[in-house]
Amino acid sequence: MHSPDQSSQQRASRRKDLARQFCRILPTDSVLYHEDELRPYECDGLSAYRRVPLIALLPETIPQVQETLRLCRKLRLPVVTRGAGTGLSGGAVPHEDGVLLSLTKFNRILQVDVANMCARVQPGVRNLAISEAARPHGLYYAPDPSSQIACSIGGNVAENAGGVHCLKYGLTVHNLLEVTLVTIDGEVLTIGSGGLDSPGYDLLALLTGSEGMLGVVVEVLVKLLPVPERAQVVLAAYDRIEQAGNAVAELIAAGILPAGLEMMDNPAIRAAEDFVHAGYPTQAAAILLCEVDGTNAEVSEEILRVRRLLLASGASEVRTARDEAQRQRFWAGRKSAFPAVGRISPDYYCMDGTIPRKHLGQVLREIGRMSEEFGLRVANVFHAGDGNLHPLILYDANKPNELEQAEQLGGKILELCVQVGGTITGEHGVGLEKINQMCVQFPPAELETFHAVKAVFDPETLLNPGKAIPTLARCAEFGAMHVHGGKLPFPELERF
Amino acid sequence: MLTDAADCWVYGYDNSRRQTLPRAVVFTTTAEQVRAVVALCNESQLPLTARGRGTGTTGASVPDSGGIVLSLERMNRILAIDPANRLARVEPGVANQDLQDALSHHGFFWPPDPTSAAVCTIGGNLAYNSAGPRAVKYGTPRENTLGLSAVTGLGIPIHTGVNTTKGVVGYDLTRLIIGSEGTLAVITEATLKLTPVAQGKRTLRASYSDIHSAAEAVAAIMAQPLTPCALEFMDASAIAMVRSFAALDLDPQARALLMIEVDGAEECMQEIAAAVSDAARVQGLLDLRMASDEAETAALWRTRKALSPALRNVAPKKINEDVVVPVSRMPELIGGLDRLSREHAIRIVNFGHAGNGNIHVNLLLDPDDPQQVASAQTCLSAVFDLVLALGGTLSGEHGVGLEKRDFVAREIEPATLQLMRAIRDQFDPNHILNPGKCLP
Ligand SMILES: Cc1cc2nc3c(=O)[nH]c(=O)nc-3n(C[C@H](O)[C@H](O)[C@H](O)COP(=O)(O)OP(=O)(O)OC[C@H]3O[C@@H](n4cnc5c(N)ncnc54)[C@H](O)[C@@H]3O)c2cc1C
Ligand SMILES: Cc1cc2nc3c(=O)[nH]c(=O)nc-3n(C[C@H](O)[C@H](O)[C@H](O)COP(=O)(O)OP(=O)(O)OC[C@H]3O[C@@H](n4cnc5c(N)ncnc54)[C@H](O)[C@@H]3O)c2cc1C
Repeated sequence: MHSPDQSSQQRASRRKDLARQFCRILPTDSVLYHEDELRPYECDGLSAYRRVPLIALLPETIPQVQETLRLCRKLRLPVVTRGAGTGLSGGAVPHEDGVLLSLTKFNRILQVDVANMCARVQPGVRNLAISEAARPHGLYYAPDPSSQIACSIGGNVAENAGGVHCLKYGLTVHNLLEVTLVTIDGEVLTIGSGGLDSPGYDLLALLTGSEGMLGVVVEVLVKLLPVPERAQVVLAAYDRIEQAGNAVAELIAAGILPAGLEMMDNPAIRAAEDFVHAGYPTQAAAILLCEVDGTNAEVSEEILRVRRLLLASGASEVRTARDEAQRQRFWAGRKSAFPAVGRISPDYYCMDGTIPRKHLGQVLREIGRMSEEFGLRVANVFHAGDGNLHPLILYDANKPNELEQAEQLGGKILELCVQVGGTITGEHGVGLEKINQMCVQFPPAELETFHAVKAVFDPETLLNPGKAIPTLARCAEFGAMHVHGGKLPFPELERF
Repeated sequence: MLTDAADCWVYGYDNSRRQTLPRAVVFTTTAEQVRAVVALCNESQLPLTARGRGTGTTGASVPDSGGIVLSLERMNRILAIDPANRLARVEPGVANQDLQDALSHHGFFWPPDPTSAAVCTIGGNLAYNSAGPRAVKYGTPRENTLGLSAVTGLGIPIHTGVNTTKGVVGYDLTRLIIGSEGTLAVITEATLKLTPVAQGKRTLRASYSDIHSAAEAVAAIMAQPLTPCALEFMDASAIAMVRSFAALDLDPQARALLMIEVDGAEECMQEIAAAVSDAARVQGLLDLRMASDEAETAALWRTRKALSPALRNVAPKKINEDVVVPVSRMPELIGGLDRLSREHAIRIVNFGHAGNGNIHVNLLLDPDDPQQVASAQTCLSAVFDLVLALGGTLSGEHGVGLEKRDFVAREIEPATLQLMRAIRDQFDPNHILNPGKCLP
């Protein structure tokens, strides 16, 4: 055994040695290796997991990324790519013995092509910056994660991020045309094309959502859409949460395609109201926010239908935003719900399970029951139209055992989601966080297919090792924890 | 199972007019049978080609001679239609139109609408990523499929995707299998995403004095928020051909034509049609008409619908290509095709789905004239080079199959092709699934 001092000395000298090697291919200020310079990279938006990398590299050009990856491969160094670090599943958490590859210097919008309605951007560009650049031309980039002021388009591609408007306009994968990728061999690949479809396999879809495990995204061509003429939002309040859940299923079944359909439960409503004074009814058990966009006439017509359906679904109150200012206020409450919940609890843990919409009512009730059982408060604020839940489990990391309790409750919620035919993540990705639940959702044949795909791109598993896809050995271990009376978890599950 | 050569013969061709004789044709009725058949083929290294109804135009379902055909036509049940979750579960042999008919009772449809809908199967649509005019607004099978059950070349059943409209777990194997032309796995079940039927629809026809004006109109239409559900295009040579075939009420100066269809709530149709008309009114517009009833709608479509019979009438053989260029490059494409047509003395007729730049390029020739056949081949090769030079792609919806296989390498870089091959090796290490198709 080494003494702590000795091993930290060894680590320091390993760092210096690596820094020397990387300084041959990168500008000196792109190579960070002092402990204090590396701290800012120790976690992403899921702060429960923290690791300091051996070294952080900030290349500025594609050839620099190529050289960097070639050297990593030669040295067998694990590589974790990082965009803005807003991920909520630990995807960008560094590897202790590896390189953290930050793409923050790739921050230029290369072209806004108005005629073909697309934009070519570098991966470090912020999501919102694309829409801001397109706005003068009457265009915007549709996927809008709540983190859009901060998160990078490269991170969006890697997580296949969604947002409030993806119910109507699709996830990241539906809004991409082409991605330039550098493989672990340092090869540059152009995947997809400016045109509609290209021959051969759909590698673009394969890359989207692959959580930095197949290659490093160095350029992205995104689709732009024309800004709709008008958008209008309706707020409906309910006395019982199941009613709100059922109303969502009814709206969708009636053939309405809202631009956004969001739900908040009472704890979330109160937290948001206290924080930004959105004008929410604080006594309601749940509210729905339903946005409709299109031409003036379309919106007027659709709003009438939505109101009728919401009233029929048992809403105690239905309000249409009077003007743009009120519409913005209604949304401000929703968009600030996470930080608002952060004010009422020292810590929270955000889950991302997604379920078939018709089970919303039932699952929310069950989450309420589990919350009582664990003695931990849960606030729900989520993309109801997609059935994409975001239960926020409130806990205090300074109280003994609470983090573990919160994690256990979270695991139970995800297993419940799978049980009703859903999935463990709708948009935040698997990362480190949900890797064990992958074993619940996927049987070995499917996990092996994932590994087979991974092996094609990265046979030595240097890219983001230990994330997203669990090894079968890991599942066996995790499964063992869950075996009761020799039974596997959810043997009765209908697989799909 | 069929083994008689006469019976097998009819399962050995598709609409590419290529034909081989398979050793046997197997009809499965359950996913378990598919698994057993694939596993057996894998053990005995026997090539296997999945087959819907053989309507493909690029030869992807033409079997390897000596191999077997796995026909999915008897797996034709619609397993569930679930409006609340906007999804349907189907077996692969369901005909596209049968599904649409069943869905329409619930007020929904599945967007992919190849012209062959009455015959072609969902499995074939998925394997080819086939689409039609509606794709411009509603997308292709890739955007409209939630999950698949499939059997890999190793005979292993897998389930991809999720039951929900969102889900980001693991790699996107659903979309990987869609468009893979039966070379990665045999699809045994699909969960499809449904879209509500719009109540209102309007049809417009616009004619232009030149292709540049029409392309400008397409760009203007696509740049406003009301995406049409069809935006079809015909060039001067297509118009000329239709004209000589049928008497049509068309401006004599017209050298480009757009058919535009918009849908939405009935109450809003007037406004939507007005917005789209405004966008279509660019310089060079000769005539813009909107149908006010069913009969007029049919009359407007007559020009476009007359194309296929006219094409058949004019030339004994056509090479029908299906290229895509960015919308802004359409005039350059048509101009270039014009030039190639003159250089190679081959008549070229162009029409297609303008909204997404998907143009059907038709080379007309007489197959009995060896010189014409030869110059058609050089001309075709030049067409592909032109498309790629304009930043386009070789196939919008008909796939690669055998017909275009040898051109794929011009578009896709060697390293990317290598990756695709390596992916196939993982799904199908013995290359039993539709060998020789899709990838060069
Ligand atoms: C308050 C808040 C609200 C949020 N709301 C939403 C929401 O509504 N919808 C939603 O989908 N997500 C949401 N998120 C999660 C997060 O913002 C998204 O997952 C986002 O896409 C991550 O982008 P990033 O640039 O921060 O990526 P990072 O966190 O830096 O990285 C995420 C993953 O992507 C990989 N990666 C990053 N860049 C690249 C690249 N160039 N090439 C290859 N791999 C790369 C990393 O290795 C990692 O695995 C939210 C997060 C917060 C904190
Ligand atoms: C008159 C006519 C009009 C057409 N119009 C259009 C059009 O507008 N748009 C368009 O895109 N296409 C069009 N096509 C082409 C064709 O109809 C489509 O490509 C259709 O999707 C093929 O379906 P199929 O069931 O006939 O498949 P097949 O031709 O039998 O097979 C096509 C491919 O799919 C594979 N396959 C079939 N089933 C499965 C399965 N279950 N699992 C795995 N692989 C499978 C086969 O191996 C083969 O590679 C047209 C064809 C004709 C004859």
